[in-house]
This record gives sequence, C-alpha cells and structure tokens, in this order.
Amino acid sequence: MPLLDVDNLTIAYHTRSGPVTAVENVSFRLERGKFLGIVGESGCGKTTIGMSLLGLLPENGFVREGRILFEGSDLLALSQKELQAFRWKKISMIFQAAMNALNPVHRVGDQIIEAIRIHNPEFSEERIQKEIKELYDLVDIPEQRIFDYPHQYSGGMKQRAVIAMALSCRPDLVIADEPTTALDVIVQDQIIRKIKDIQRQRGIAGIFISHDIGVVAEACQDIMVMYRGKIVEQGKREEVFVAPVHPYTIALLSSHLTIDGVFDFHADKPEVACDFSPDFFAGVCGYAESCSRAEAQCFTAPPKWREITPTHKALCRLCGQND
Amino acid sequence: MTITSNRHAAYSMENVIDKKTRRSYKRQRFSAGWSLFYKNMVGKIGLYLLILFGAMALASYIPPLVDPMYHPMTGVDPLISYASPPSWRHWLGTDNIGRDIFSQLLTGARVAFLVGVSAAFISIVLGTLIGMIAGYGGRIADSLLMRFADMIMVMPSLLVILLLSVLFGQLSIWIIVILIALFRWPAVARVIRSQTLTLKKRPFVDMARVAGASHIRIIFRHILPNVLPMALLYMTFRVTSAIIVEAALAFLGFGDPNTVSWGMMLQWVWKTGHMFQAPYWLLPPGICISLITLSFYMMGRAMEEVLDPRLRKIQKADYAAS
Amino acid sequence: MILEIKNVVKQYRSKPFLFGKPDAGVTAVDGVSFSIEKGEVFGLVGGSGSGKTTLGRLTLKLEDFDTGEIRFDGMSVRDLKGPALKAFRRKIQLIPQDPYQSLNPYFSVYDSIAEPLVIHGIGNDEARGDLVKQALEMSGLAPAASYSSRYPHQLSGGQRQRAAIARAMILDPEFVIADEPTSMLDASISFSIFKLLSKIKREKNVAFLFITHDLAAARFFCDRIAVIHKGRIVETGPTKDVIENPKDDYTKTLINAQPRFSYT
Ligand SMILES: Nc1ncnc2c1ncn2[C@@H]1O[C@H](COP(=O)(O)OP(=O)(O)OP(=O)(O)O)[C@@H](O)[C@H]1O
Ligand SMILES: Nc1ncnc2c1ncn2[C@@H]1O[C@H](COP(=O)(O)OP(=O)(O)OP(=O)(O)O)[C@@H](O)[C@H]1O
Ligand SMILES: [Mg+2]
Ligand SMILES: [Mg+2]
Repeated sequence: MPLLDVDNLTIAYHTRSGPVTAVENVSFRLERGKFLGIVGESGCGKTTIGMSLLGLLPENGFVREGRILFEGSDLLALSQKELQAFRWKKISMIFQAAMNALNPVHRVGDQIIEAIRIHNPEFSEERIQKEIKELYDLVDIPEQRIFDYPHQYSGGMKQRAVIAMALSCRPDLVIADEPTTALDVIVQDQIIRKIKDIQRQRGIAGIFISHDIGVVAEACQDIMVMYRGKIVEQGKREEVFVAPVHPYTIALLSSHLTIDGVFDFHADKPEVACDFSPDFFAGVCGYAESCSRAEAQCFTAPPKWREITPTHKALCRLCGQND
Repeated sequence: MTITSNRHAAYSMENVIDKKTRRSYKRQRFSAGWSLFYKNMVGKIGLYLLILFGAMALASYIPPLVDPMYHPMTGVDPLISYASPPSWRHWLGTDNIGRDIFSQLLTGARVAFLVGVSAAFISIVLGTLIGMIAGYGGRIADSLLMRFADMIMVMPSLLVILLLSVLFGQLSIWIIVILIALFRWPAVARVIRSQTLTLKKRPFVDMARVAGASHIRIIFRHILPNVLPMALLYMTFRVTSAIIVEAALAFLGFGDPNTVSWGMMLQWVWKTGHMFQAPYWLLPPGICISLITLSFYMMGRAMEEVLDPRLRKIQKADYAAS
Repeated sequence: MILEIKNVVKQYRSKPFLFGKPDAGVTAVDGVSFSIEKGEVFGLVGGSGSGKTTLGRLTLKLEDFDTGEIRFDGMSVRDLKGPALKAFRRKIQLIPQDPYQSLNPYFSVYDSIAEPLVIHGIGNDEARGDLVKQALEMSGLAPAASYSSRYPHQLSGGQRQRAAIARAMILDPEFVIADEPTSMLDASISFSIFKLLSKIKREKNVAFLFITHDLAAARFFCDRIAVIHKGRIVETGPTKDVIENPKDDYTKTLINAQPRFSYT
C-alpha cells in the first residue's frame, strides 16, 4: 500500500464570479521513503494541493471530487479534530510563507519547543533542549540565535527555522512548499543533503514543491509537472528531465537559467499567459495557445494521456506519437 | 512584451478597472462580510438582542403619546398611587407612585444605548489614538503616554466619580458619560499600543514608508485597519462596562435625577423598600442590564471575525502549536 | 553615479532586559563600499544572513546605520528629511524579499498598487486606474480586472510577488532595489520578469541594485556584481569576470555549489 494515494483530486475556490477550479483531476501515488517533486507555473495550484493534503484549504476553497488516502485512511472523510492528530505528527508542512508560519510576538525557539512539547508530552526538558539544538544544527543557525524574535532573522533564517519546525515531530510525510527559495546554494545544498539523510534514516516521504528545477532534480525521484491546475507530465526524474515530451516541460526546462549561461534559448520558450482559470478552457488543452507545436485539433478536442513508458506519461495529443 | 498573450487583447480593450466596477467591489466586499457575520451564531444572537433593545429604545417615544400618564418620569396614574403588579393598564405594573414600569423600561433602553455607546465610543477613540501614537512614536512619547495611562488605570474610577459628584452636586448624564470615557481608555490604549508595536515591524509598513507615506497616513491607513477589530472588540466591552458603571452610579443615588435609567429604576426599588416585595419592578431592569451587556459582548466576538480577513481561515500559526 | 556607499557599518545589539550590558550583537553590515552608475544593474550576491537585505534597508533609510556614508544622487541619505525625503522616495523603490508580509492584508491589490500614486498625488482616479492596469499587466497579472479586486490572501506566492513588482514600478523610479524579486516564480516567469526589467532599464535608464543568492540569475541580469559574505564584500567586478575567474575562496565555493542541472 502506498503511503499516500491521491486519486482524481479536483479543488476549486469560491470567488465572486462563481467557483474557479484551481486543481483538476490530479492523481499520484507516493511510496514510503520516496520524494515527489511538483514543478510548474506560478499559480498553477501547487500550494493548493499541499494545503488540501493537510485539510488546510482557505475557507473559500473546497474539494470538488477525488480521494486522498493516507496509509489507507481517507483524509477527506476526517473531521478537523481527527485531522489535527495527523497534522504535524504524521504529515507536516513547510509553508511557502515562512514568515506567516512564525508568530511575530514569540521567540522562534519557544515556538519550536512548544510544537515538540505538545506532540511529545513524554519528553524531558533536557531531551527537548537536545532536540532543538540538533534541529538548529541541522539547518545551520548558530545556537545563540535560537531565542531571537522572527523579525531579527534574515529571510533565509526564517525559512530554515520553519524547516526545523516541520521536522521537529519526526513526521512520516513532509510537504515542503518552496522550502529553499530564500536560501543560498550552499545552505540549500546542505539542507537537501541533510533531508536526504533523514529520508534514508527514518524512511520519511516528502512532496517537494518548487519552481527551482535544479533543486527538484536533486532531491526527488518522481516528478510531476503542472500547468494551469492540471498535471501535464508525470514520471521518473530521469524520464521527465532527460527526455521530456510535453512542450510545456520542454519550455520550462529550457528557460532554466544556469550559471554557465546558455542564454540563447530555444524557440520553444514559453509565452507566459497568467490569467488562470482552467474553466475557461473547458475541454481543450490549456497550453495550446502558447504551444509552438499546436495543431488545429489541439484547439478543438481535449488532450489525451499518452504513455511513453509505463511510468512516464504526458497529457498531450501530439506527444509520444511515433511519426 | 512577452507576458501578455493574444487572448488578453479582448480584455485590455475596455478599461477594466473603471470607477463603477471599483465601487461595486466595495459593495460586494461589504455583502461578503455581512453574510459571514450573519452565519456566525453568537453574532446572530447578539444581533437579535440588540435589535430588540434598539426597538425598545425607539418604542420608548410611543407610550407618552398614547396617554400622558405613561410618561416615564412625570406621568402618574390618577387611579393608582402605589406599587401595583402587571395588569392590562400597566403591562409591567406601576412603581410606588403609580408610574408605568413598562414605559420606564423602554426609556431605560434608550439611556443605556446613549450612555453605553457614547461613553464607549469616546473611550475607544481616545484609547486607539493614544495607543497608536504611543506604539508608533518614539520611546519618549511611549513612556509618557503609558505612564499617564497607568496612573488613570489604577485610580478607582467609581470612587472618583462619586467624589466628584459629592463635590459638584448632581452630575448630568453627559458629564457622567464623559467621565466614564475618560476613565476607561487606558486599557484600550495598552492593547492597541502592543498591537501597534508588532505591526510597526511588519514589512508592509516599511513598504508604505518606501512609497513615501507620511506617519499620519501609515497610522491611519495601514495600522488603524489592522487594530480596528481589536478596538471594536474593546468597544463592546467598554459599552458593557459603561452601562454597568452608570447603573451602579444611579443605583447608589448619584445618577442624573432627570433621566430614567435601569440603574435608576433599581435605585427606586431599593430606596422605597420594594426590593423583596415587588419582583415585577425589580426583575425587568435587572434582566435588561444583564442581557444588553451580554449582547454587546457577543457582537464583539462576531465582529472580530468579520473584520479580520485572516481570521476567516484556519491560522497556520495556530496549527503549528496544535 | 546614482548611489555611492562608503564604509557602511550596521550593528544590531540586543537590548538587555533591565540590567546587564548589551551583548556583542550581530554586525549585519561590516564596512561595505561600492557605487552604482545611472542605468546600471549591480548585483549583490551572497549567502543567507550575509547582510544583503539590511544593506537595502539602510539605502532606503528604513534604518539608520552606525558609521559610513550613503549618497544618492549626491545627497547624503542620512540627512534627508521632510520634502526631500519624500522626493527621494519617489525616485527609489523596493521590491521586497517576502511578498507574503509586504502587502497590507486589508488592501486589495488595486489599493496596494495605487497607493504610491495616491501618496504622491499623481493623476486622478481614472488615470490611476489606467496606470494600475498597465502595471499589473506588465508584471504578468493579466487580465488586470480579475486580480485588482483580490486581497493578498487570495493570491499565490508568485502572484503576490508580481503585485509587489507592479507596485514598485508604478512610480517610474530611477533606482530600484530588487530583493530576490523572483524567488517564488517559476523559471519561465522569472525569465520574462528579468527580460521585462532589462527592457525597463534600457528604455527608462533605471538603475538596479539586484539582491540575490542565485548566481545564474545574477549572470543573466547584472552588469557588475559584488559578492558579500558575513557583511563584507569579498569580491567585486564585471559579472562575467567574477563568475568565470573567481579570485576569492568564498566566491569559488558559491560557484561550485551552484546546481549544474541543465537541459539542452
Ligand atoms: N483563497 C483563494 N481564493 C481564490 N483564489 C485563490 C485562493 N488561493 C489561491 N487562489 C488561486 O488559485 C490558484 C492556485 O494557487 P496556488 O497558491 O495553489 O498556486 P501555486 O502553484 O502555489 O503558485 P506559486 O508558485 O505562485 O505559489 C491561483 O491562481 C490563485 O490565484
Ligand atoms: N532587526 C534585527 N535585529 C537583529 N538582527 C538582525 C535584524 N535584522 C537583521 N539581523 C541580522 O543581520 C544579519 C543579516 O541579515 P539580512 O536580513 O541582511 O540577511 P540577508 O543577506 O538578506 O539574508 P537572506 O538571503 O537570508 O535574506 C542576520 O544575521 C540577521 O539575523
Ligand atoms: Mg504556492
Ligand atoms: Mg534578505
């Protein structure tokens, strides 16, 4: 049984102009000890998926259909109270808004200690002290900064504190929403390595949401590429990043800036259209408009799932055709 | 430019954010807040109670029009000159000199609103202003204002008001309102100050400064809306305490003798020795005082939720500690 | 020369509670000097906690520094007051690092972006509406109508960041401090944002102080860069030289840690 099994998940937000679908028919599985990377356009619904796994959708967000099975139990059927038992202890999240997750009026260290204490009432005072020192060591913040207030931290330090907090209760599944955006490559490298260590030692699984393809390529075994609320390509890291087939994936990969600076981009560079409302495209491929390979049928008929290998598939009527 | 695509051409033809649309956003924003408020149970009960009291206050103008003997202060029943239990003629009975208790009760609602809301309003305005200035201004302003607030806070307000009325004779209802307000701002100022202190460090305040906003603008446009829920919450508490203080003053015999407040009614019951003889006279004002204070409190709780968009969703920080 | 920074030092001391001396504190910026020409993009690259944001805040006069000098357009920033300060703040803008906290939760996107116009009394309601719409669409929030009435909590991280960019650019500043302006944007959008900023720079001769930890982005966008480590500048020079021939050890570590992932 996979640790997490998400089946045909569709999430929408109520807005003034009626409900807007933010995530559409998303399905994936995650085994214990594996990391799944979600990459995609800004605003394509990555955070929304993460929040729904924790039952933390904003009040105007709701799950339209689908199932989320965690260790075989349906998370959507649980009450908020029952979910609380899952959160933090079993599933924890590193929020994209690192600052929002820290309470500005309490010292950072106290907030982490509080989290540890609540979920592990049996821990002694020394044990907690030891844990927090280990965590700070893990994220590389000097010990004497533990009891500073959030505003005294730099952006990256806040983000690291939130990572420490998410790992404090030794969860089975960590959802990391842009965990390294504010971190420089050295710290980022170090944290990814540490996370991989923890992954090996404790067998935790993770979902890594990021727009930084380099990070995702480094940390995750499985990759999911999203565009406008839909998965457009899904597969193993090697398959998706080495032999991408969906035009959006190709465009995304080719606009990735590297230090060696190949700035002469492919013609496939994405034309970014930011209005986001998949309802607008009911039925047709959302990427067709910006796609350089689009053919007439892309604008009239719905896209189809193509299997390239048993583990690698893409949502595009043109991909994987052997002609 | 790369970022727009042809599909948007249609949108950009029209001037999408013209005045009219913007006004309608405001309206929709209001109606969204309203529906949320309405859904809230506590708020609903509080609101119904307040509407009831509001109706009572408005209705207080009617009885004297029906018959001058229903005038709450001066009208006496020509036939009854003793405390009488409820009857068709006097729904809640009469007091010891034959005045109609029901019409006194209605007038009491009016006075309670007047005293409660205006005293609370003045103290909230004072407290919020002083709190924001203390929190936002430098250390000197902060220490001065807060020491001053402490001084007032430790004064026994009821005692001081009693002393003043002994010194200056009977105080009018407006003086009482202002005195209550003057004694009740410091607690508000403290809370608002501490909120302002943390808000001041938020990046959006820095961003306002970068955009060139003056201190006045930052205080009133950026900090004020963020502290307003708290201020309004306190306002409801202040209404409660103002009504209680006024009732206590009146009950002790230091109220404005020219107004009929619920506290005043209680004092009449007490002074004329009907405390245990005439429950129909004692209970209505007592119950009304309890209910009106409760309803303002419930309104406050509900209001807090409507005014703070971030409270509408589960707070992430809460869950971190859960 | 639009900005000149000389030997600036900024130390944060924690205030003792009641008694005791203040402790050694944190020296966030430790004797930094550099200058930026008109219309130049200057990159400040460094690790987390190296003092980049602090330096930006000092330049904007959001905080006072201990010693040294910062001159903007020849004026000493430390001495700016009243109308001169307001004029200064019309010319210099910030794209903040944390888009989650830098938009007032009670302001709609429209109100937030129009605020600088209101403060400086630019245009009437209608003209402001047009400007806001342009700014929104320019930064990729199109169609403007569907975003302008939203509140920050209804936007994704990247969308907030773009709203912050729109707000910074609406006053047509001469100098922009961009503090990791695309940290939450995916590759394709951050790429188009950089292209957009480059275009603005070329057309309007805007200078940028571009703060980042991402050497790849710096390489793409900056004319010159300075590498900052623990509050000190360890190396500075034209972007290409620094990245291809790093002299300093820290710069070398930084370059080597850069993920080499590339798809060709
Ligand atoms: N509370 C809300 N009400 C209405 N729409 C919302 C709300 N929250 C998010 N959205 C919209 O839903 C879409 C998906 O948002 P989400 O936050 O999941 O994006 P994301 O993939 O995490 O993007 P980013 O990388 O920019 O953070 C966006 O278009 C966003 O504007
Ligand atoms: N108000 C403050 N009080 C105390 N220390 C502070 C304060 N602001 C910043 N610091 C400290 O100054 C140092 C530099 O912080 P700064 O925010 O400038 O870093 P940064 O280079 O922007 O890092 P990042 O890339 O992580 O955002 C950090 O050690 C930080 O903790
Ligand atoms: Mg997100
Ligand atoms: Mg920073």
